[in-house]
Amino acid sequence: MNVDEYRKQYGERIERSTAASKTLGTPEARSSGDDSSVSAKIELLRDGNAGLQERSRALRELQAAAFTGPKFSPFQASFINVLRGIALKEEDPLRQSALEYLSAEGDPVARQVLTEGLTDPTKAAISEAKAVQLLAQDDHADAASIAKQVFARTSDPGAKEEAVRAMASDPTAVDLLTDIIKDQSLPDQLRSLGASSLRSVDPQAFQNEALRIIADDKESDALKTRYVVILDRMNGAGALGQDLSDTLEQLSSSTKDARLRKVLTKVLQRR
Amino acid sequence: MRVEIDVFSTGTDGRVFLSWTPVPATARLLDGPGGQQAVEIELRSTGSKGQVVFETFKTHRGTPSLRLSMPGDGSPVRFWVAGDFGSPSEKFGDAVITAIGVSNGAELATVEAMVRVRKSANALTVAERDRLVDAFGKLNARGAGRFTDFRTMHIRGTLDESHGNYGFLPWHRAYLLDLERELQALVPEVALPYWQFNKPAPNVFTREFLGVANSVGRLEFSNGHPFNDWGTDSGIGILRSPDFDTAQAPPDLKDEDATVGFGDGVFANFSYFNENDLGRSGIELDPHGYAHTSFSGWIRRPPTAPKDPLFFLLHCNVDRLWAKWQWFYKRHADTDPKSFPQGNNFRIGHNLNDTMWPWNGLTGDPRPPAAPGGTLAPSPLTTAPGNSPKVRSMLDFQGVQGGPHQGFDYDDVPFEIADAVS
Repeated sequence: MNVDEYRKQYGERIERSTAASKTLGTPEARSSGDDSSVSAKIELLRDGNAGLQERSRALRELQAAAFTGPKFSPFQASFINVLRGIALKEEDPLRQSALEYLSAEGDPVARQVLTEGLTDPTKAAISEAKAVQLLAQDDHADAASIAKQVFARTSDPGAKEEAVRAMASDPTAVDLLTDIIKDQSLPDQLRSLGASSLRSVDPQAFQNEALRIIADDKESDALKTRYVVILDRMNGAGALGQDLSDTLEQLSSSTKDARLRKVLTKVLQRR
Repeated sequence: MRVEIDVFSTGTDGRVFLSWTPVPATARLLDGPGGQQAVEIELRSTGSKGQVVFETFKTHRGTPSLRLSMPGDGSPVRFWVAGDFGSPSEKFGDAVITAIGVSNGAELATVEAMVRVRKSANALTVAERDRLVDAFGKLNARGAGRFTDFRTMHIRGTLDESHGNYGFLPWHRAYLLDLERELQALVPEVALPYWQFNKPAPNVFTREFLGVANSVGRLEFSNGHPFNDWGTDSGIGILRSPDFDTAQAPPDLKDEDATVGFGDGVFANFSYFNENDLGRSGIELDPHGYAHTSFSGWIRRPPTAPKDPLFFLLHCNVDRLWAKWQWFYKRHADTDPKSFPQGNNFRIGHNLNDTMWPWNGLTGDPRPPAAPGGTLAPSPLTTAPGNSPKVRSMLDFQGVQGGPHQGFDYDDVPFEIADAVS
């Protein structure tokens, strides 16, 4: 492409666009974020009587301003205070957004709200699944032990999944995670997540379970495919162990699933 | 008779990688007639997809064929070669340099190459997309890989280095380049793509690429996708859900024309373009900040945003906008105050002559307590910007002013030799 011609065309485009923006109002006027407007947005966010759309926009703009780093620092404390207020208000539609931000900050108020809601569902601020997920983002929360309680209690598949994920940092969850992987009555997705968490807390236990599943005729090809991929990655570029290699060879010659065969061929050829 | 072509832009495996920026090359006869007898050859771009251009000097006006008079004694003849702007490769070998004998039309040499540039993520081929996610997956290695360093370069306590001052754009340019070089060390055909956030990107937010959020904002990927095992300090998985219809662009972001044309050209000045005052909606606030806050999840907060691979595609677009602005206004010269403020009284890490953390290895007040990741990853293609770049090193990434290029280009930002402009 001719660069000189490209420059000419691009210049004309910018000129047209600039002319249009003069007619419509300059874009830089739209999103002003000076000190007074940041304070005004914090006040708007605080105002529960203001419209939801306006408050949501203010929240988005304040979080965008937080990306300017140190310049937002003078406002950070009052911003956090407003979010805490929202997190504590039962009826505030921005409650989940506030909890998301605060829990990622490791905020004690968010931790308290989420923990209370998970131990006493009548006090739940947000869905069980979301609450477990957010609590697990907070390094100071005891998310894994609460997750085990939620897993045993809940019938919500999403909450079970988040609970299993939260156990990935809990060495005492090895037995429960192994049981989840073995339980063929559970959905494949949940069992896969159990495997993923088990791999984090006990890689050898995971490998044993994965080998068993790959060799089991009753397991689905989709699940086997996933395990083959994970085992392949776990073994890096090195040679496969004899057990694994034999199992994969055997599966490759017996499976009728095209995707699984393709993955197996790729793995075995590379070794 | 045969011709040997050496292109001085080869990877560690000897393969040729090009971008829009011309690189030197030589051709010489291997078994010529000897003595003073010259042989005429013609260099041609004969690739199936990627195309190249040639010239005997460094220019943005190269041509798809070039005649050279080759000394019969085998002495090398120097020329310049570059990717033909607008014709990038999709894979290695789809760009080819062929040398033809003018007298008889015989093919005397062929050199396979790749015109490797950063493209819109939405326009990647399936193979390009899969190579990228594969490379990211390898770099992440379920949370145990080198990617961890990139995450910890941009967490709480480090953000003074990268945000809220003039170093915002140069720092992130180095950050992306460091990451891209690590990806290329794993999968050489990869170039970091950009998420063009002012345009719909339905091919990006899919299970096969950057994921689709479930009901609680956790991403789901296709079976076998490397990101199913994406690991961070939060375990396995990625939290992100769009607050907009991903068949469309996010609303309320300043678009490219407004970003590049900001201030009607009167403010074609870095300090206005960058945003050094919350009162002005320069690029750091809008569209950069608003692009981040178009989602819920990690990407919405500065300390957690780089845990999500989308972060790097988002920032690649921010960098592309800066590169486009630099090209349009010819703002590559580090001595030009309109290219970058010349003062030395800004926060450390944000002055033209400052080295940048963490690549400089400096720790302790006023720098962060640790410097993860070591020096900036080297490239077999070029020496720039060095392993501990200064802010000023990141301005002229194409070597428009005459220095070495940094080995990357954007598909819609050409290389153009600068003329002095006021």
